[in-house]
Amino acid sequence: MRPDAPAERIAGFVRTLRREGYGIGVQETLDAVRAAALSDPLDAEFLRAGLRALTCHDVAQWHRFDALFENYWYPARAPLPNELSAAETIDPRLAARRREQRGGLTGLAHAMDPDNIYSAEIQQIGAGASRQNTLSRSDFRFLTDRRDQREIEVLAERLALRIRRRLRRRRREVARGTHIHMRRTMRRNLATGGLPVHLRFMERRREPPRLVWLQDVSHSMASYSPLLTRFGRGLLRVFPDAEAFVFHTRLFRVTGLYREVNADALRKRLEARNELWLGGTRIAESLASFNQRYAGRYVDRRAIVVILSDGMDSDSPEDLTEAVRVLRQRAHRILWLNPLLGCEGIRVAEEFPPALRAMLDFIGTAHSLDSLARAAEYLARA
Amino acid sequence: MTTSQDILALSERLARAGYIADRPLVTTLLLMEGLDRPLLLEGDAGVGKTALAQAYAAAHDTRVIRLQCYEGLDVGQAVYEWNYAHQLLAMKLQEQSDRSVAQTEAEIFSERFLLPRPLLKAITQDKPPVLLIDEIDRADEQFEAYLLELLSDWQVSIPELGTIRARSIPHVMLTSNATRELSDALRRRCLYYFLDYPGVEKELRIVENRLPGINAHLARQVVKFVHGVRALDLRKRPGVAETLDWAAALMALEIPALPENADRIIDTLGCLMKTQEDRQRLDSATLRGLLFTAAG
Repeated sequence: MRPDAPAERIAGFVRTLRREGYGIGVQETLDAVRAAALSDPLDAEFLRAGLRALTCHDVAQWHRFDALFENYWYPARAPLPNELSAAETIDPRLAARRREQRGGLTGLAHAMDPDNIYSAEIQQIGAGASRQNTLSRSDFRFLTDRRDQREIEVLAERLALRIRRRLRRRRREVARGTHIHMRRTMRRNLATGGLPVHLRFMERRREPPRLVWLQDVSHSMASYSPLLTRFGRGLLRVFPDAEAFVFHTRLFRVTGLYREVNADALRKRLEARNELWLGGTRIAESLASFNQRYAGRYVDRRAIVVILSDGMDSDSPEDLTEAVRVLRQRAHRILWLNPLLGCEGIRVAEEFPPALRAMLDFIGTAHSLDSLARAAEYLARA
Repeated sequence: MTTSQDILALSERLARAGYIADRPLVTTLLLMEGLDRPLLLEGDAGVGKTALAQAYAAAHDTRVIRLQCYEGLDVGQAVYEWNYAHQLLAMKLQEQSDRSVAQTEAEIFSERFLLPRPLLKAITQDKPPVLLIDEIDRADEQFEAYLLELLSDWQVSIPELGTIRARSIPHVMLTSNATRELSDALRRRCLYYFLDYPGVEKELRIVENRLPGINAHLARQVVKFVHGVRALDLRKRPGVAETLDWAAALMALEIPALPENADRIIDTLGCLMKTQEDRQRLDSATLRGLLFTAAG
């Protein structure tokens, strides 16, 4: 069946939205065409509300939608969506041509070849998957596109949340235990008229470890802070007794901030706390301060301490080793994630003195999503 | 075809049920029916997400079946559970009978001993209900995946009973407060609507609709004051529900207007601000400024 002309215009709008980062599948496109068919052809507001409900999947997309809709359907009255390219600044006729190419609400002159409409949809979705693979390997420092950064941050948080599955996995049936598996017991004792002669048990629920998150937020870590903050926020939601601290030359407890339920609100609240983001690095002193003020309360034999730092310290290596030694005596596990280990030519041996290395249970990098996935895997098993 | 009359008619039915909805929202509700898709509602707490489901059900003269999500929610609490106590009793009663084990098993794992939870209840109604899945972001990802399957197949498989197919397809509304990112698959399955805080005029209509006895002068001042409070940098901005609570409190205290009663108003601000941090943010200078704006 050849899609009719309005369908082509809607497909064109969907492609425009996809270029702007909207994840729209084939089904949504087909439903958008159905929605348009449900409405009065002259009712542009119905079309706007319908397309917005179908194509927006979060609040950021929701707020950008109106401008994109205006640009596509009413090019003559809308401002250009993006900044003019250098060439367009020089030659205004190029900008005028771009405006012209976008067509109007009923303009059909530049519709795409209808036979390719569905295959083009599918190709675009395939391209999305390979893009995500590339993103997950990318060093966060080199991601300059704001959209890519946001996407990675969301994925980092989702990665952390995935650990929850391990912690809350359905309890298996075991031969001996303390908690009766009612459903299995009932079936097993049908022959005895329900008299529970043969009991079936469920395994004990594993006590989740207590997580302590110590994140270096000094200048040298600035490029990685958004990624690590979202990963940390995800972990705080997974581990019930988790505590979060950030440090540069001083140490701050940020558990309340990291437990902020709304990601946008977290971003705003972090941005408002200037004192968190200024300063050099004094890792040893910050850890010593943690040991003195908080370790007694938050670090016990079921605690996993995660230290995130590039190790660029103005304190002496001996002081750092001593601070970690004190922590080691209390904690179940200590992990050190260093984003610099993802850089070519930087090795663990150079970054960590042998005495310090011996006290760490896991040393890993934290520069990309893939590297965080390895750390998450370790945390899920620890 | 959906016409302006359909939009107007649904708007009026919602208004009669106590919900003032603007045109894009009503359009989206009509599309939800036309395309058989669930509707995902996002917005801050207190903007009227749950109230919309209740009003929509009232407008369609049907019931709301609500599933409140939380961490650790599983199939036993969301879909069905066996009534173990009754099963045991039934087995004891049949002890003396000459029924075989297979017959007893078939008997105790029948619908008679099934406890339907909200999702199963929703698909076994003769008249399509409104299924409100509240705060889906609080449930685990596994549950979200299960929900996706249910929302596309409209059937529930129970190992002992077989597959139960939907008698009618419910109108599904999901709400989320963005506690965690929902999966792309679920977002794409749903229509999306972001419920923002209403403007002054719309909120005024809501207050007058829900509190018919309120003095018009006080209602306008309350709404303008709350809009001023929302503009402050607060941890939890007051929603429409808080505006209604506060207006009701002022009516109960017989306060006729805001500016002249600043001292008494301070004691009622707990209706609007729910954390100590936010309460401290509203110092006396800020309060005077807000009262001045509300009076203008």
